[in-house]
Amino acid sequence: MEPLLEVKGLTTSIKTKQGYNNAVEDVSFAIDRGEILSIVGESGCGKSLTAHSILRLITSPPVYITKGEIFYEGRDLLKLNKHEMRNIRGNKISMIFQEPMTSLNPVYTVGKQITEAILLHQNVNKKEAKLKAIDMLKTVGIPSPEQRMNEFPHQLSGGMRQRVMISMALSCQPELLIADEPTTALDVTIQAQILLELKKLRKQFNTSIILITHDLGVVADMAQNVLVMYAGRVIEYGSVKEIFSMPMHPYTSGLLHSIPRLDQNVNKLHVIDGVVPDIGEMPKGCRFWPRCGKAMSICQEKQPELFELQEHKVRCWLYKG
Amino acid sequence: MEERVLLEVKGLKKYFPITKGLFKKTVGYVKAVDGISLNIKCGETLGLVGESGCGKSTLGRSIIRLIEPLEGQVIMDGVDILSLNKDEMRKQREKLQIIFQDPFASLNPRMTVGDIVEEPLKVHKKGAQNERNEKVIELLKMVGLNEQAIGRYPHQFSGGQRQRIGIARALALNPELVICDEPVSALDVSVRSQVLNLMNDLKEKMGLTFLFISHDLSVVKHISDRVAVMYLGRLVEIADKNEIYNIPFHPYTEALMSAIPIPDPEYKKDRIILKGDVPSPANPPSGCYFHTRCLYASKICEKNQPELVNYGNNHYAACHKVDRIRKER
Repeated sequence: MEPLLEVKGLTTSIKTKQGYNNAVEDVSFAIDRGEILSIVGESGCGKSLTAHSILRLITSPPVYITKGEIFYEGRDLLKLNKHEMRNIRGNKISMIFQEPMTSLNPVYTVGKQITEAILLHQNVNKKEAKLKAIDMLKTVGIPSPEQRMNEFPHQLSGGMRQRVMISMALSCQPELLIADEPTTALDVTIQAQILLELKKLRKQFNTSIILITHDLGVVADMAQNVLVMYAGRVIEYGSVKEIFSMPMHPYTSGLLHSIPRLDQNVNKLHVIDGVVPDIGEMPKGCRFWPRCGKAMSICQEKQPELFELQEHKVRCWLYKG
Repeated sequence: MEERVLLEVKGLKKYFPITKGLFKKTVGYVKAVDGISLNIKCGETLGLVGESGCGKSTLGRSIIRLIEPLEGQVIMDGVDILSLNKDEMRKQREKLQIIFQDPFASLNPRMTVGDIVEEPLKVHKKGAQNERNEKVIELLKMVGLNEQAIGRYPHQFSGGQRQRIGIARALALNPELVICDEPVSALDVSVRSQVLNLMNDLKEKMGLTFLFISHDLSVVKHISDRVAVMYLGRLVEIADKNEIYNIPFHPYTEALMSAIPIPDPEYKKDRIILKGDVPSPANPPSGCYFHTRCLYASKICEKNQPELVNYGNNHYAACHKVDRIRKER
């Protein structure tokens, strides 16, 4: 079966005085209908930029998509014109952002903002749109939605705002939802509520979800497949089950070992030495070698490819054929 | 571990007024800290957890009087530090230091790292200039920065390194108690473990006592000896960390623990999803503050505010239903 979305060799660069810096380099992945794929990595690794590139929500200049293809149902999104792209956004692919406070317009009521999206993308009148909006608010678990419709974003709590964002994103029943750190700004008990809503929605509408997060706990809980990124590159890609039980890349395994876990007691946490390199000063070869305990001489010279070991892909010289 | 109590907090309260209109008439209070009592023992790390807005940071800051509490006592070495005057308090602050959450906002961008770390020594008139310089180098080395850092400015450092500078500054005066207010929340996973290990090493080396405030329960479990849980300005449970994580008594603690995502796809557990949101601390519910979201709540919970009761093993919980919950398990 053809995947819903296929990204091939996506490279997104930031133009600077010194030339182009690849903030996202040669990223490829695919997502099926009803699948939850997680993109995980630390701040600045390019996970958000990858997502924004899919919807072409990047500001050029200074950011440009310089290479790659993004196939959605067989069509390359990068070749569409403005008008065609607008029909994709919201209708087919929707996005929810990390900051529910800044992504909602403070001067319009919640109801107005959701109906606006519905009116824009669907062939309905105002009354129908309003009913649909109320229905959506109910779906995401907002109590007394009729009343909430007339409230402004500042009258809602963080969790409620994120629910409004989700209901807005889902109001046109998109086939793919891109969720960029949807629960990072929320408390754990509220995070648990929102994650449960996302799972329910996926079941109900068979929506595919790209879940961007830095929290490996959320990945383990939600996703089937995971893409681990480091310094703009995909370094490991495979099923969540495999990667969590058998991480291959030294970075992935270091990351998994450096989180304190509730179900284990340790005296000393595992440490990955050093810091993520600056985008202008990427090391030659593998971008992780200065922090890697297993670095060899080849790592400093040549960039490893994404080696394929059955379903599991890893960008590390240790696993060369 | 020594059992000596380093600091005792008794019935501490801090209300922030809500004002309205032209004349700033007070129309109500946000009860950020609403009558909290706890002990911090010498050499321990006491974790303080709760969701945003529960008053954990206000409590931390009230203890060292960065925020002036409304009432209550904070007793250290037999003296109530809330009754000290300005000069006496400044002296006392030598023993009480704080590490802040945001490594970007808590360092003055116009001061060099050397000046930042030296400042507490200057304020408290410790040693001559050359002695202070030596001390600064020693402190920077201790937190894993090199000597060249002295002449640089905070913006030249990454988040993790800035947090190390903040730690060096807090430790400059050899304090007894360090309030750590979300010290690793702004850091990435790989850097976070570096800073956590450093804090643990320093604690052992210098015999420090930490009050570690965080919303991240996995981090708190890792670093703490005892854990206190706050909800809407009140303590709901306090116990040894293994006790509280394995057998939480309070339904809120239980829900909080079960909501943490575990980085293991094979790990299956029954998650307790709480209904609704945290009520506003300006208008908290009657009786037990948690009863509006509690699975076990009954009439008595709406009426009476439960007291913190010791259920053995120094495991304290404030809940009317503890006996029933324990029986059902």
